[in-house]
Amino acid sequence: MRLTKVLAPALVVLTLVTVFSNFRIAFREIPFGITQTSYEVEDILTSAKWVSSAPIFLAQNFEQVKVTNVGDQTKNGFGFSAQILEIWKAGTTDASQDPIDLRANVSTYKLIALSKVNTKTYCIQRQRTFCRMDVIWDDTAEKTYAEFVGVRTGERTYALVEAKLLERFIAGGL
Amino acid sequence: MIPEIVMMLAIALGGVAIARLLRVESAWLAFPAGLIGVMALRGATFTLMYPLGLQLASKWVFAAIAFLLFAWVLWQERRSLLRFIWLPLGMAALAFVATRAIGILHTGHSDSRWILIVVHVMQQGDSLEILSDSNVFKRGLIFPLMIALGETKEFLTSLTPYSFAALTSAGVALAQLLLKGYSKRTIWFSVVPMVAVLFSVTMWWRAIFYVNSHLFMGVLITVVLVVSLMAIRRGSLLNTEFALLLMATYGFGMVRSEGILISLMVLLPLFSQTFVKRWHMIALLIAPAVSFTVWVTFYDNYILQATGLPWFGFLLALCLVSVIPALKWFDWLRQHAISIGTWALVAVLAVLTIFFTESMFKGWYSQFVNLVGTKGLWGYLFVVLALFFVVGIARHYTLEHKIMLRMSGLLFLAFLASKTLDDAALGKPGLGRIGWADSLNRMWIHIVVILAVTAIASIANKFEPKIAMERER
Repeated sequence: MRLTKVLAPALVVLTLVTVFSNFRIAFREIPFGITQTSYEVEDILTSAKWVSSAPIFLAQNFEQVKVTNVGDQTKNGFGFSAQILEIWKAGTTDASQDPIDLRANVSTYKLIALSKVNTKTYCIQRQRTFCRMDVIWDDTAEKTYAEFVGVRTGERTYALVEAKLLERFIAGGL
Repeated sequence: MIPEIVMMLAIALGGVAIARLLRVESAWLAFPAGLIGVMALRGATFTLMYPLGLQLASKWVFAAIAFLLFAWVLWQERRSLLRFIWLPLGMAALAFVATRAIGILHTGHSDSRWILIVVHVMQQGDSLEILSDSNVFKRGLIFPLMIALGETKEFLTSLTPYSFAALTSAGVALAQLLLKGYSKRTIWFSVVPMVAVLFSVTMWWRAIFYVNSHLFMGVLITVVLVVSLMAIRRGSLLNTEFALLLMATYGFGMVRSEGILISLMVLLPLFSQTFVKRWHMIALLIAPAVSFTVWVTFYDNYILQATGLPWFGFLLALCLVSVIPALKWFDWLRQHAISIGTWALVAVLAVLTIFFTESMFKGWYSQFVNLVGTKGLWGYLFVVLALFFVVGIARHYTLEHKIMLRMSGLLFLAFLASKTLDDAALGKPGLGRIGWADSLNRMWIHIVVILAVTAIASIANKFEPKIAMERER
């Protein structure tokens, strides 16, 4: 009986204190959102700049692509999921060479201005896990087949640039 | 939208049918048992039809069988079936409204997105061998299979909140066993504080819509323990209970990579009883081995490739290893299996901490910060749980409560150990990182209902200790 007289009020106090404290935490980070605009898997995968979404963007806009100069994301390259590209039956990936380094090129901003997709990718630059990635092409790109080349545009930024557009850029034609 | 409604109806009504065919009498247990039943049905139909190239048709075969089973059971039971239908049907409707009408969105997370990629492959009717690498493999087979029942190019959005409701229902079924005999006053004073604390926790609310297999795992673990406790109290295992356990253990082998080991652990209370027949044990140990083999074979997984064995060789080898605990040589060990398992896990964690001090201490610190320092978004739930357990220490416990206290400890340690081994496979044993998204932090979803209900029973025992003395055996 004595225990009940102590335990019951103690439980009430403990509950109130804990619930109040927990709600303060809950308001810092809400458990879910009410912003569902599409239920399609592709839309969900390409929303919120998901780090592995670049292959899906390519698959949505081109029938077949070849992606090169991706490199190794743990060294000088960046993350690009060849597996996702294969799952979407959208092309092939060659990661044997590092991205082309355009950091010294002062006109890179012109290329980035043409970015169709701004997302994230895995990288290890300056010990950060994620870097910005742009996927860049223009209206001259052929929708049936296109080649995309990995480039490094800044200290923590990369891009996949359609090959012919990149050629024109390097030749000074932008 | 129509396919979503049709499939959720198939899951809800098919589940009711299977639960009633298995003679589950409690409506609270019938709901999660039914979910396990439809998981087994979906797994079985896909397993049989995928090798024939009919994987796309398998979802309609699944739905047809589910509806036929319901029609059959409805014809048998008629109005008496109503008390089993309201809960799953009501929860399916609520889940549908939440996701499709209100548009509640799951928290974005890489694991969820990779699961949706698996769903994409399944819905295209493509070969699953493209999913052979470890990153995709660990997303499981049965959870993507279930949400792939959704409309083409989409996924079954209602299933995750439905599964949450099923897990909560399983918790009620467990509470019915552990709180049997206590007065209403005691039950109120024990249940309300814990439930209030649990539902004030961000992570618990996040689990409702978070696309991952954690809720499935929680349902499997909780239902197996509930059925085991019922059998232990009675002193015998009914055939219908055995059938439900068989479906559950089959599900364990396809849900997560650690599922096959967790399946063995949750069966330990039952296996420690002398009334359990040896062939029952063998069957329950083989079932997850079969489903795991199906999973690695369909994905052409690196585990299968590493052995160099054909699938039937792998199946035979895995079955032979799996049945070792059922051998007569180990009968003397089985009675103390829970204690032995607990101390073995403590030893494993201790040894790993000694030999990999830096990474393990970092991991222990991370878990402390996640569970006590609130970074894992569990609030102060685990502090309250610990308090309940400490305050609840008593001389006498009911039989069910004693088992659940020991299983709570065993499973808590088991998930810690499985995480360290998971990290060890990637280089160094560890215990995860700080943050809600850490995989171990999310794995607590599997057992939080068990911990909460057991803690509730500990407090109830303090209010009315006489009940424990009456129901100790």
